[in-house]
Amino acid sequence: MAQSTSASTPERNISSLPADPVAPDALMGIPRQQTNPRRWQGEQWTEFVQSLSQQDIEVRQQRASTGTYVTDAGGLAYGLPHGVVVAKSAQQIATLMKAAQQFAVPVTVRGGGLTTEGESVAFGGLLLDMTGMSRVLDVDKEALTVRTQAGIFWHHLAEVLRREGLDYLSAPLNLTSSVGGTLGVGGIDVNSSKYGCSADQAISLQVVTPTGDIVECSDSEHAELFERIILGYGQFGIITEATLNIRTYTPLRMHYFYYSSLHTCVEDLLMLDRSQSCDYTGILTMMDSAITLLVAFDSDERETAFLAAMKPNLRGYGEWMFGLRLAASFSWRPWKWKEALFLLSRKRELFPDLQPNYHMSDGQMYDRTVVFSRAVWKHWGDRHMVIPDLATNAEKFVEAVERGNAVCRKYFPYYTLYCVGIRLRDDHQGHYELSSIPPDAKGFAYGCEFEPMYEAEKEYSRDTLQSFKNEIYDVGVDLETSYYRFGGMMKGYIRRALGDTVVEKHLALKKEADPAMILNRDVIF
Amino acid sequence: MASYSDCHGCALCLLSCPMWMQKRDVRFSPQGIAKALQHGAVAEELTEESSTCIDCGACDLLCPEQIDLSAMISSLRVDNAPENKPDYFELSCNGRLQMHLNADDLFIIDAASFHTDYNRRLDHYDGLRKATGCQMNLDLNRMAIATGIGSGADVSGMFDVTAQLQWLMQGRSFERIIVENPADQVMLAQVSGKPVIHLSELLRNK
Repeated sequence: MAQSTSASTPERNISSLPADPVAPDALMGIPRQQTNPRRWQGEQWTEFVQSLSQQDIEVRQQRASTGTYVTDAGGLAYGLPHGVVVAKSAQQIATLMKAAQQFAVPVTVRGGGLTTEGESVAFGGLLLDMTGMSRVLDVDKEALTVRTQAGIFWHHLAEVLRREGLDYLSAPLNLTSSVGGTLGVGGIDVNSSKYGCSADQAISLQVVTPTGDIVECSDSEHAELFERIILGYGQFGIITEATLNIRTYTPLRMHYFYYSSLHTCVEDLLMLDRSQSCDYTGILTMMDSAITLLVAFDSDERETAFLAAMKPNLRGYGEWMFGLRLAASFSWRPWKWKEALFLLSRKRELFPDLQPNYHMSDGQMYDRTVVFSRAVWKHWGDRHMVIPDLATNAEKFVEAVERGNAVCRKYFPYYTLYCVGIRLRDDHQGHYELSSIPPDAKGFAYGCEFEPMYEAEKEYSRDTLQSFKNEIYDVGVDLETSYYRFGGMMKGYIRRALGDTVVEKHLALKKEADPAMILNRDVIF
Repeated sequence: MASYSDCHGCALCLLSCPMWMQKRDVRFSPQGIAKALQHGAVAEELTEESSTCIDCGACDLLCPEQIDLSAMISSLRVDNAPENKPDYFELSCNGRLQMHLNADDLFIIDAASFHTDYNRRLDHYDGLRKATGCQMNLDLNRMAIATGIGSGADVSGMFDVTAQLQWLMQGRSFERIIVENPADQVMLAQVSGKPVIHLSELLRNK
């Protein structure tokens, strides 16, 4: 077994270290060198597996099984677990965590694997695949709640609820996110300005603590644990079941308004959210040339009221008028014609997928989550999903978007911004302390994601992508705000953004809750 | 042509995969099989997984990399000779069908043939659904939920058809089932307790 460099062998050249037996790097054929002497090296793994085996827990160690989890949606962090356990029950996970504490074996928990910074990638140790616990347990149509296992994808939750004429409140646009993973980090939707982030929809949770206790928690029961688990980035326990608020299903009445100024569009978004006149709002852009403000409604009454009272105040254009204005502005700037062609082809590809015939009826969109999710994967999905973001209060948002946009312009010819508002719950301020919700946000927080769109034959190095992310996050530090993609490779920014006092407080809580520091150890601390 | 090596694990194929829905274990999914192959697994090591697939073909349509996932899985089987599956689409295009369907019907599209010519057929079935108000065995992705009846996995006992039919019918309210594939008739009648009528029989009715 490879041993760490230690103080007793300071003269040893790092390149002479044996190859790490755990994790081949993304560079095929070039073995990773162990460079972090404190990283877990496989100590007591055999004893740990033996202990689990004696308790009827299967640990898959074949490369064909561990290789399934080699990276996450970001596709930039690569690592292999020593072994994988597919979650079956809270009891099984409790047994596993007790053994992990005893043998000090790291446990990385994974749902849909939709992290982008390696948070759900195991660099050795055990990977717990929560998708094994992905069934809906109970739907209460009277109380409008659902009890579900936490490894379920939002898509499958929607699939079950739709059969009953019901829907979840808000969920990430990417429907292969798991419920448990989302509750741990936030989850934003185009209706978050109305309902808040997904994490705020949780009424109660069943949690397995890092020391293997099974605890039901909520705002009224084990409230302190509930506060730490929600938006807790998986540090204080594993969510195994969740009770969520749900609602009656409604199709969507959509409207798009087009802008050529980010500043104006963001101001209009803020104005709409303050007015609470829309059920859904968000901004989606093609660079800063074609900026779309999306608004939508759950009922004809809300739509009619908006059209009468709010639409006249918006400064965006309809599709045709905007197209004419855009054509006019490009016509005397030949150096931008390539960009104009890109916008045109992008529009032709994207727009039909945002309103597919078989999800539309009488001008209304059915199953918008599926439509958006498939469009996201088709038009923005890539092997490398680099999506740095900024989360601010309402006052700082215009500046954050404009400065982030300038960074995008500097790095990429083509990119997208996605902006939404998030309604905050006053009674959940404690949940937000070490999270993407900035401490100075009152009433609403705002998030903007910055995503490059890769050209067909253009490759960007990891260094370029990392520099891009750093530069976006530097804007966040400068603005004294927060961000959503918080951990993993970007965790170096946590102290810079939120300060030592908050981080030390949570680190002390973590050490108390997880004495061996084994649960999702590389994510935050 | 994209191959298993192009899979980067997005998991979209899981969303409509009957095998995964039943097992809740990524090993039993196109993604899990592609990833296992990427990491050196050979056909003999994937026998259980490849034998549990019911060949509905939904995964091929959902894969953003356009990998022929169903071909990948069938190539792992010892007996992987292509099967000549009957196609009932022409029957469902009969102009008189609309007159015979109503809002209390659950229309069971034959999933495998539907997915082989998806875009054209989806338009047809979508029109039929909107015109008659009948329900169909479509999921949120607008893929057909396969019954699995008569598939290799059903015959070998690797796939629980009863559980699949229960999922297909869960939360749906209907008085009658119309099937394209006659092989679905008996089992659906047993599990649903409702009359199950084959298309040809329905069209013969005056």
